[in-house]
Amino acid sequence: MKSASLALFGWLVPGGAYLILRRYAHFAIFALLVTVTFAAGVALQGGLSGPQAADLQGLDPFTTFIFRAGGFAKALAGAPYLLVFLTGSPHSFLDGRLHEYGTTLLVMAGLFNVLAISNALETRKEQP
Amino acid sequence: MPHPEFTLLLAVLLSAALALLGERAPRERVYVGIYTFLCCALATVAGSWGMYWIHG
Repeated sequence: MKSASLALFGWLVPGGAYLILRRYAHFAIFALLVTVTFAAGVALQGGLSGPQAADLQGLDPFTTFIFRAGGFAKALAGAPYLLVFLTGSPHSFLDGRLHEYGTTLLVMAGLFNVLAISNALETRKEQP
Repeated sequence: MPHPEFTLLLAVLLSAALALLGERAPRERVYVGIYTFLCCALATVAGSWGMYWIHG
């Protein structure tokens, strides 16, 4: 399977890249880790939405970039993100600014998923 | 959620994620997890003292 397909499936299904490589324990643990982190972020009322143009008014370019990057990082969690986003997240970007713990956990879930994908790709390179 | 509990939660999650990386024996993964957790605790203490010295 090509690396891009592996990465795409790994994004969609948390830990899914390990599933394709038949590393079932790694898949289970990373799937649980990403899902629990994301669920904790939603439970702590983290803001799932990225910033809108009105939210960024008056901010310097670096802060704008950081806020947009944070919004993108949340989407890296894959299926949990899509599930909550498509069913309508009740918390806006500004809600997320208020409930920073939840927002931090949402971003971490996305980064954990990227970590899983990158490590799975590296593991595949090392395999004969 | 109080700050210490949140810090503990993040440290545990981060330690678990980093322990899973690479080709390691299970015992070594435990060592990596513990090491990462201790580094998080140390960073928290150092950061707290830093904030105290800066802000008083």
